[in-house]
Amino acid sequence: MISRNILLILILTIAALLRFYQLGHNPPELYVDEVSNGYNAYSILKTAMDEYGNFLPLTFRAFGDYNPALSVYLLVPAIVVFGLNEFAVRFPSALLGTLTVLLTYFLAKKLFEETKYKFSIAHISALLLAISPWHLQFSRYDHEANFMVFFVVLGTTLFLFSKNNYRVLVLSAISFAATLNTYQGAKIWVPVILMALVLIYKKQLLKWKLKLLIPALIVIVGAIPIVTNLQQSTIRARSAGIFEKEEPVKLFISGYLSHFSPNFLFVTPDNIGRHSIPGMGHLYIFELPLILAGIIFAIRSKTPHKKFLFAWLLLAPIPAALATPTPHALRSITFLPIFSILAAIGLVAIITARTSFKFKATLLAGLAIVAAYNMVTYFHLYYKHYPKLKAADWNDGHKEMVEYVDSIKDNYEVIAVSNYYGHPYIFVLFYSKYDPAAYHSQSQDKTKFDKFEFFGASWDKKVAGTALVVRPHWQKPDPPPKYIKEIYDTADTLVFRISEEE
Amino acid sequence: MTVPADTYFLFGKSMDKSKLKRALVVFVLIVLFSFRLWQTTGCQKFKSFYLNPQAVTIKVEEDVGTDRGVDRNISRFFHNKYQSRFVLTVQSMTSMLDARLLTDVLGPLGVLAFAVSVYTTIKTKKILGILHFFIVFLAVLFATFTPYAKQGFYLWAVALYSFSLRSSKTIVKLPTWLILLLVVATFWYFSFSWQLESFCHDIFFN
Repeated sequence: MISRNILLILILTIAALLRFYQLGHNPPELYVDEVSNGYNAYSILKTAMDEYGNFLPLTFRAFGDYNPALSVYLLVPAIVVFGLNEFAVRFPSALLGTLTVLLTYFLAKKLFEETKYKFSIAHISALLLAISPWHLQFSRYDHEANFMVFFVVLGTTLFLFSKNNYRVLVLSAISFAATLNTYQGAKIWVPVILMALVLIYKKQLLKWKLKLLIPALIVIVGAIPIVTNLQQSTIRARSAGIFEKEEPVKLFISGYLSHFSPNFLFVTPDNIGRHSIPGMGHLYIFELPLILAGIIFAIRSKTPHKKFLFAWLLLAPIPAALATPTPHALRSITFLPIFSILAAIGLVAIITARTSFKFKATLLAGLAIVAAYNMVTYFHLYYKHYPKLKAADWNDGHKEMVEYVDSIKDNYEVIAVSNYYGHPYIFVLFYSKYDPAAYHSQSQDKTKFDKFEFFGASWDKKVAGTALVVRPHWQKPDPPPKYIKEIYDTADTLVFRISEEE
Repeated sequence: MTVPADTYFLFGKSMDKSKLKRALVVFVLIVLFSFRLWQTTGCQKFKSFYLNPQAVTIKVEEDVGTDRGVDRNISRFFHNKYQSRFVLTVQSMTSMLDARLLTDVLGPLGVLAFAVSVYTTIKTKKILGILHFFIVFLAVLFATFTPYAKQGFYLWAVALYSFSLRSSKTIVKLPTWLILLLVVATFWYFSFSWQLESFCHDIFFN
C-alpha cells in the first residue's frame, strides 16, 4: 500500500515538474488569448469588473467570442499570489493538468476495479498522461480546454464512484455544471458524455428515483450562463461550426474520422503551431502498439465499465467534428485521458501475457528503448526547437515591445501601434499593468486609449508633438522615419520596428 | 428425399439459410468493392505514399539547422538518418491506415468488415488469417517503398478488400435491416465521395 502511494506521489512529482518547469518562458510568450484572460482576471481582481466594465460577468466578451467565465475566474487567485505575469496566467492550467493526472489514476482504477491489475493499469495510465505530449502542450498554456478536461475527468470519476453514495453523485453533477462554464466545446461535450453515462449506467441511476432531480437541476443551473446569453454564447459556434458551411454531413463524417488518423495522433500533428511540437504527433509513437493491444484486451476484459470506455473513445471527436478545420488537437482534447488508459491496458496485457519469458523480456526491453528515445527526443524538440520554430504563433516580441514603449512613453505625445498582429491594445494593457478602473471608460473604442493609438495599413498623425510609432518589420513608410529600436523574437526574426516621428 | 424447410438452392447447389445469407453478404461486398474500384478508374494521379530517400536527408539537415548552439553530438543523437527514416516510414505507413482513407476505400460496411476481420484474426489466431493480414501489411510496405503510386494503391486496396471478406461469417449474424442499412450507407458514401479526395490527386470525370 505504501509503495503504491509512493509510486503515485512520484508520478505526480514528474507530472508537476514537466508542467511547471520554465512555465513562464516556454512557450516563448503569452498568446493573445492568454493575455486577454490574464488582463480580464486582473480587472476582476482590482474592480470586480471585466475589461469592459461589466460587473462579475457570466461570459467574457474578450474579442467578441463571449467565452465561458470559469477559466478567467480561476486565474484570479494565481494573480493575487504571483502578480500579473506569464507564470501566473499559466499556473492554474499547469496545476489542473497535474491534478488531472491524479484523477486519471482514480478513474482508471475504478474502470478496472474488477480486475486484479487495477493498480498497475491506474499507475501506468497516470504516468502516461503525466508525460503525454498532448496533455503537456495544453497544461503549459492557459487555455480553457484544459480546464474542461480536468472537470470532465473529475465529474466522470465521481460519477463512477457514486454507485452507493448519493452525495458523490451530487458532487459529480456540480463538476459537470462547472465544466459547462469552462470552454466553448464543453457545451457539446458535456451533454454527449452525460448522455453516454446516463444510458450506460441507467440501472445504477434509476435506483435514486426522485432524488435524481437534484443532480439534474444542478447541471441545468450550470447551463444558465449559456442559456441567458444564448445569442452571444453561440457566436463562436456559428463562426467555426459546420452547419453554416456547404455539405455539413460530409464535413462531419470526414472530420470525425480524421481524429482517428494514426498519422494525426502519432506522427504529423494539426497545422496550428500552439497545439503541438513540429516533428511529433500528439501521442508518442511507442504508444501506438500499446493502444492497439489495449483496445483488443479491453474488448476481451470483463470490466463492467468497458462499454463506457469505448463510448468515450468513439464520442470524443464529436465536438471537434462539428467545427472546422479538422483534425483539431485542441477541440479533440476530449480524448484525454482515454488514450493513456488504453495504452496502460495494452502494456499490462503484454506484461501479464502467458508467453515465454525471453520473448516478453525482449519485447519489453525493445519497447522501453523506443519509449525512452521517444521521450528524450520530445523534450529536446520542446525545449530547443519549439521556441524557435513557433515563436510567431505565440506573439513573441510583444512583451519586449510593450516594455520598451512603456519605459519611454512619457517622452511622447502619442504612441501608435500597428494592429497587424491582432489586438495590440490587450498586450499594452497587460504588460504595462494598466489600471483597469482607468481603462473601463475607454474600453469601447479599441483603436485608442490614453496616449495609445492602434492603426491598420498606415498611420496618420493627428496631434502635434513627437510620436512613437510601432510597425511590423515589413511596413516601411516613405520617407523612412528615424528608427530607434528593433524588436526580435526568440528565433531572431525581426518583429517590430519602433520609430520616432515629428 | 425431403428437404429441410430452411434449405435453399443456389446455382443448383443446396444450402441452408445462414449459408445463403453469407453468400449474399460476400456477393454484396464484392459488388460494393468492385463499384469502388470502377470509380478509381477515373483517377489520373494517385496519391503517393512513397518514402522518398531525399526526404530523409532534408529532414535531418533541417532539424540539425534548428539546433543552433547545441553540441553537434547531442544534435546528431536526436537528428540522424536512422531516426528520420524511422519517423518518415511510420508517417507513410500510418497515412495508409488513416480512418478517413480506409473509409473512403472500404466504405462504412467495408470498414466494419475490416475491423471484424482484424478482431477475429487476433481472437482466433488462425494461421490463414494471420497470413492474410500479413499480406495487407506487405501491401502497405510495398506502397511505402515503391514510387509507383497506382500499382501500390491497387495492391493495397485489393489486399484490404480480400481481407475484409473474411468477416462474412460474423457479418451475417447482424440483423438483416442493419446490413441493408450499411449497404445503402456505403453506396451513399461512395457516391458523395466520388472525387476520391483522400487517395486521388486528379480525377477526370467530375
